[in-house]
Amino acid sequence: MDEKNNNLLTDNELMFFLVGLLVGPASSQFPNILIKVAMQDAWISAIIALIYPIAIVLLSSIIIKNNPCENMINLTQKHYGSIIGNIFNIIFLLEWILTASISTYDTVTILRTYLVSFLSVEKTLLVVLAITAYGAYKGLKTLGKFNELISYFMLLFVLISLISLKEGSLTNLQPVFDSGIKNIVKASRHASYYYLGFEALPLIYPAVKNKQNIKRCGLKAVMISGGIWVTNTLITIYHLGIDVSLKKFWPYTAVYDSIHFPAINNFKYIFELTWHLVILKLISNYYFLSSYSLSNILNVNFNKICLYLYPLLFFISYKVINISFINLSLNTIFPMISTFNIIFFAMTAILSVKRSKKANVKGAS
Amino acid sequence: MFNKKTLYLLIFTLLMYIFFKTNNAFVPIENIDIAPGAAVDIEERSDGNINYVLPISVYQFRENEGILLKIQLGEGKTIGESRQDRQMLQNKKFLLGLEQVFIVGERIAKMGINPWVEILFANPNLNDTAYMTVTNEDVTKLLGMDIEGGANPSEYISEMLKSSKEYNFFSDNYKVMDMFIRVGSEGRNLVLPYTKIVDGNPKITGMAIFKGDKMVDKISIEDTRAMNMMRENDVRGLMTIYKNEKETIDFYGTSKRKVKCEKVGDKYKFYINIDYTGDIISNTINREIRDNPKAIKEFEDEMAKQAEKECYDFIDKMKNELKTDCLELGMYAVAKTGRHTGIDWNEVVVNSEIEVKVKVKVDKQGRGLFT
Repeated sequence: MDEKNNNLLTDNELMFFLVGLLVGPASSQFPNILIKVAMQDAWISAIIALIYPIAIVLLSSIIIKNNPCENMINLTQKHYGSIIGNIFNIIFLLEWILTASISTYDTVTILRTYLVSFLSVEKTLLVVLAITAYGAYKGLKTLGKFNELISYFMLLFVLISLISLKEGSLTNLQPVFDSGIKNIVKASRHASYYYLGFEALPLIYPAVKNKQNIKRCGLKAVMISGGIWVTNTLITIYHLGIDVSLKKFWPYTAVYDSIHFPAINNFKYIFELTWHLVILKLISNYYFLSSYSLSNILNVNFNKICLYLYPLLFFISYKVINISFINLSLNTIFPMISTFNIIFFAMTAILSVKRSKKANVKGAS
Repeated sequence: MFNKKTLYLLIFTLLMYIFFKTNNAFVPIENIDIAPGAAVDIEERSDGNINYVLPISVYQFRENEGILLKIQLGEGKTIGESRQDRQMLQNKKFLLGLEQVFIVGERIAKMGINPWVEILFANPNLNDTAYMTVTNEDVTKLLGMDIEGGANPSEYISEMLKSSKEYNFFSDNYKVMDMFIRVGSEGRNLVLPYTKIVDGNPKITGMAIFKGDKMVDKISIEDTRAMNMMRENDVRGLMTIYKNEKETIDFYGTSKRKVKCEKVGDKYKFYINIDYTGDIISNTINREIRDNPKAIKEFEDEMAKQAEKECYDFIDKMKNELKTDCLELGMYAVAKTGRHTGIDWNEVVVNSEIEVKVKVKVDKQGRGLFT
């Protein structure tokens, strides 16, 4: 019993696992997506977009409360029947696989620009996926442990980025609400891809130790990751201004370029190295979620799926994903997925409440 | 004695090494050209076009002889081509990323630095905290000059620019990153220290004023002080009240500025409030200042009046001669009106009213009065 309990996620590990699903390679280009539409009010859009993860956490906590033992995949199969349920599950799975491969693609591009320009795409991809696959293969508890550890580093680095506050100017953020409420809301829709990830909550909760704390952990995770996204956007605009930010491919890394520590020649390399731990952790999380859902849908051993997924993800990130595909998914696929998720989750929540009520009535009589 | 696992691991590691081995990954430091400084300028070609000239100074590591310095020059139709040309005379692989100073020739500054900025901006290895300066000297000569005491000219100039913030109201915003932000943003303008060789030593003699990416003019060090006082926040400098050679007061302090922008109809009005707090470091006029509050007040008013006069003189010059917004007031107007409206902020600022108010405050007076 003790051993089994040790393999369950603690509150902190769950929280940082969820944070690790949001903050990753996209953080360095996130500000630009919003600035393009909302200009200097991008940070307001980042706050507004937080409605989505909060809604997901609340809906999943309803689902969890009524079905404390089964995960989302089994639940869908139970509620909607195996055919329709599996169609839903595959759409649900699409999110994990797409995010994993797009993140891998982004990571390889950033890595090859800043750190390993001497390696080819295939070689970098091979290593990145091998590390992440190994992490995922080790299971949820290990992932939770190193999510927690790396997240502390991540928070430290976000705090360090506040140093650059002394370089920027408040005028970069003014005039507030200049771009108009309509554009601000429109920009927050573009953020949907970056706020995906909390849907994993009903998938992994059977492996959580204190089930009554799940809602609190989820909301805390929203606060932390939302805080990171908003600081990220705010600092970038404050420091660079919107014109220069749009000129950079990864504006957030530029914030670290101007930070100068005594005795450290080029601080940005230290930042890049640490930030890639954060990124690898994110891909590892998504890798785990993909193989976990797939093994649940197909009823195949998790370890086997983990191995089979490696060539698949390699192929997708290497051949399928390119700039036009990313644009397509950012503008069309991910907004659709997030709409689907909201409807899907709401439906499942309603169904599970009804079912459990019936069960209660039956049990009482 | 090997167990199977170790053997597999060994073979695996070896295979990985062979797979990932590349030709140019790890080179010992002796085989790399490290450039502490780089410069850029243009030259007229005989066919009427221009050539970019890019000298770099590189360290040459020698046993027993210590570190030597060498200037390597590249020329070409584009900046990239001049790099290629430069490699022809280099005996090593060239590494960018540890440079401390970029010297910009006046000719390329007047033509526009954007083609050069483009290649810097794209380079992920660049050290964005390197300092920049403009010069009208031959950039190759300046990079390779002999400075008394044997200092490396690139390092010397970089340190000189870094230390300039102690006096003359210079700020620390002359780095590559600041250049990107100032050239690239709406309502902002770049200024860079202007360096000349004076008596065999590089010296800052004023400021180069930029409009967009083009240098408009250079101004003297007297104008620079007034401009910096209004342009920069939290900078230090010295001001003097001079009656005759025996009666002077030197005042050294920190100036903090606040800008307010008002829009009335189509017209903009700017208020620059400067708080100038510091110490009297030498005083041969008024001995009463030591313990008479009234005398201190009198001195403060006189100092403020003089500072305001200098500021207004510069504003006149800015409006009539430079016709550029050197004070970055456009930034505040943008913050008031909104971005990407297509207004030429240089024109707006030059044609609008600017009011300067200086408030002087005496903090300390040293340890005593001598005369």
